[in-house]
Order: sequence, then C-alpha cells, then structure tokens
Amino acid sequence: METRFSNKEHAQLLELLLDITVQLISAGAHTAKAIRIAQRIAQAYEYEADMIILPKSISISLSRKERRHVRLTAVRKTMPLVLNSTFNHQMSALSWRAYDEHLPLEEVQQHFLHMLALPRINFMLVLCMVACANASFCFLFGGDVIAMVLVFCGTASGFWLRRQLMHNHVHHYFALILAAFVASLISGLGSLLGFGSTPSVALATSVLFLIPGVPLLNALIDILEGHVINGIASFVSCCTMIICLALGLLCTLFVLGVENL
Amino acid sequence: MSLGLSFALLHDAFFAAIAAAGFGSIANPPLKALAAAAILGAVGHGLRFYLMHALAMHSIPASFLGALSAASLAYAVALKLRFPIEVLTFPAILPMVPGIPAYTSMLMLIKFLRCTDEVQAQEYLLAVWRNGFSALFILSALVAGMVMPMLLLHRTSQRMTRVRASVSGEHD
Repeated sequence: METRFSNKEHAQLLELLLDITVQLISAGAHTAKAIRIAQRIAQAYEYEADMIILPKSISISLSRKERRHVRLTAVRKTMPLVLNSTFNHQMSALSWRAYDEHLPLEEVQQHFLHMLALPRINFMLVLCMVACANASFCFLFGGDVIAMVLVFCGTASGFWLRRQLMHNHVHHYFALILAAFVASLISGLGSLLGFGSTPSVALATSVLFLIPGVPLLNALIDILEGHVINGIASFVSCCTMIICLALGLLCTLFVLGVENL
Repeated sequence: MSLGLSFALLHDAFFAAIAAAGFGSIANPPLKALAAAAILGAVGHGLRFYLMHALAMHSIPASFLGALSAASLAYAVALKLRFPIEVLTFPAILPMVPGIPAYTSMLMLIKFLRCTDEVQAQEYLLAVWRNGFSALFILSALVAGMVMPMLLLHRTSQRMTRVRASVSGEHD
C-alpha cells in the first residue's frame, strides 16, 4: 500500500508550487492569475492543485489527478509586495512551457530560481525615470517649467527617502507620510519663494508618484474575478496608503500656509 | 485642427509617453513592455486631449474613451508581444489620473473648515463637491475604460504568454 509521504515528486512539486505562488503574489500578480499559473504547472505533471490565497497566507492542497485521495497540503506565509512584472511575465510563459512541452520538474525549478536571481532595473535609473514622469505629469496638468523642475527634485527626494526608510524597517505607512511630506514640500517651494506662476499645480502633482497603482488595479481585478475578499483587503490597504500620502501633503499645506494657496 | 492645437497635441502625447514609461518602470517590466506602455500612454492621453480641446467634450467621457483606446490597444500589443495585458495597461492609464481635482477638493475642504465667513464657506464647500465628484467620476471612467477590454476578451487574455498556439482549450 502506498503511504502518503512515499512519493518524493509529490512533495517536491508542492514545495515548488508554494514557492512560485508566494513569489508571484509578492511580485504583484492578482489572485486569479497566481492560481491559474500554479494549477497549470500542477496539471503539467498530472496533479490537481486546490488553493486558498489570503492576504497573509497561501495554502495549496496537491493531489494526484487519477488518485484524488492521495493528497498533500501545506500553508506558507506571503512575502511583502515588491513589484516585478518581468518575473510574472516569465513565470506565466514558463508555466505554459511546462504544460505544453512537459519540461522535467527539475528544469522548471532551475528556470524559476534563475528568474528570481535576475537583476532589477537599476535603482538610480528608476528614480530618474519616475522623477521625469512626475515632472511630465506636472506639464500635463498645466504646470510651467519652474514647477516641472521643482516636481522633479521633490519626486526624486521623496522616492529616495521612501526607499531608505523602508530599508531601515520604518513602518511603510509612516514612510509614505514622510515621503509625501518631503516630496510636496520641495515641490511647493515655488509658492513659498514666489517662483513660477503655477505653484499649486506643482503641489498637486508632487505626491502622485506614491499612488499604489498596480495593487489598486489588482484589487479591482480580484473583485471582478470573484476573489472579493482579497480584492477588498488590498483595496483597503491601497486606500490607507492614499490617506497617508494625503496626510503628508496636508502637513506641507500647513507648513506653507493654507491661506497663500 | 489648427496648427497650434496640433502642436499642443504632440506636446501632450510626448509628455504622456514619458509619464507612462517612468511610472511603469517602478514595476520592473521587460523593456519592450515599457516602450509599448509609453506609446499606449501617448495614444490614450493624446486622444483625450483631442476630444477635450478640439471637440470640446467633457472630461469624463473623454477620459473613458482615452482609457478604452489605450486598453484596447494594450490588448493588441499584448497579443503581438506575448505580454500579460496588465503589465501594459496601468502605466498607460496613469497619466489621466485626476490629480488636480483631487488636490483642489482637499485644499478647499481645509479652507472650508477654517473659514468663519458663511458666504465664503459655501463657495468653498461647493468647490469641494465639484472637484471631489469630478475626480471620482473621472477615476470611475478610467477604470471602466481600462477593465472593459479585459472583461470582453477574458479568455484569450489569460493565454498571452503561451508559445504554442493551441486551440485545445481544456482549461485556461
């Protein structure tokens, strides 16, 4: 008689699926997508994966396709959100390859580890791009050149500060308030010193780079696809983040003097 | 369309492209996707600019159409380049986020709370509602425009990264 733990492949696949799902969620995949990818890989090896994904934990119950009673189940903690679209894109492609080309399990594992180890886009480059993006925003909202320059500096400082604070394990909501405060304060210098003709546009644009766009979009997709609890949970955390950046902006408004704006 | 307006439109589309690429870069996307997002951002925001300034359309329907066009194009690009569609859509929509109305609404709320003059306070309150609603509905229009192609083309959008063009369709 076959015991539950005799099958090494079964346990190995379960571990791999947990690793992959945790990484997918952390990289910013929405719930349905993470489930689809994991189930696709399971099916490639004649297994069925039944999954529960919650905001803080993931559970997978893996059974043989033709022997559903032979079942292993495990739970894993999720990791903090670090967006990585490249990883999600490659993982999705890898799951199709496993399914269509029947790659050996070890090969899937190697590919997965390789993808995780790929370097991200250089931080300073991202910082410059985000700062340029926010300055462009300022232009689109009708800001002049001085407002654009101030927004560029404000965004770069806020973005850098937030990363430093997160590295030093400051609570992420608090880091957000501080980053929003610094970004808007520097962007709002125009109104304090009387530079430029559109200081309010600079202030309004300065904190937009902190809006958690991808998580918000994921929350929406989750709700539309029926993963309502996950959707609501991430929507609430996104709203909290937006309140935090509004608080940071509010501090700046009081420092600059509301009556002057 | 006058020359001045065409020039303004090009300007608008150019900066929307930079904004889309810049914000897209936070999510560490593949470079090709980033370039595509920039183009989509330019198209979406450019269309909105054209509708609002050349055809004098209200900003809410214009935002909806801008988002819809960017999201539909994102779908086509995603098919061609084999990217999951959500990598492309969000950065392209972001330049249309109603930042100014949201900010003005907040500022006016503070002014309203600090104001002691009744007539002035009513004016502030009106500005809070007008800007707040405007931000809310533009945002809703963007979301509707963005999600619509994803819902309509639901089944295919899940197979974007599949190399083998299989039609067996046993499951997603």
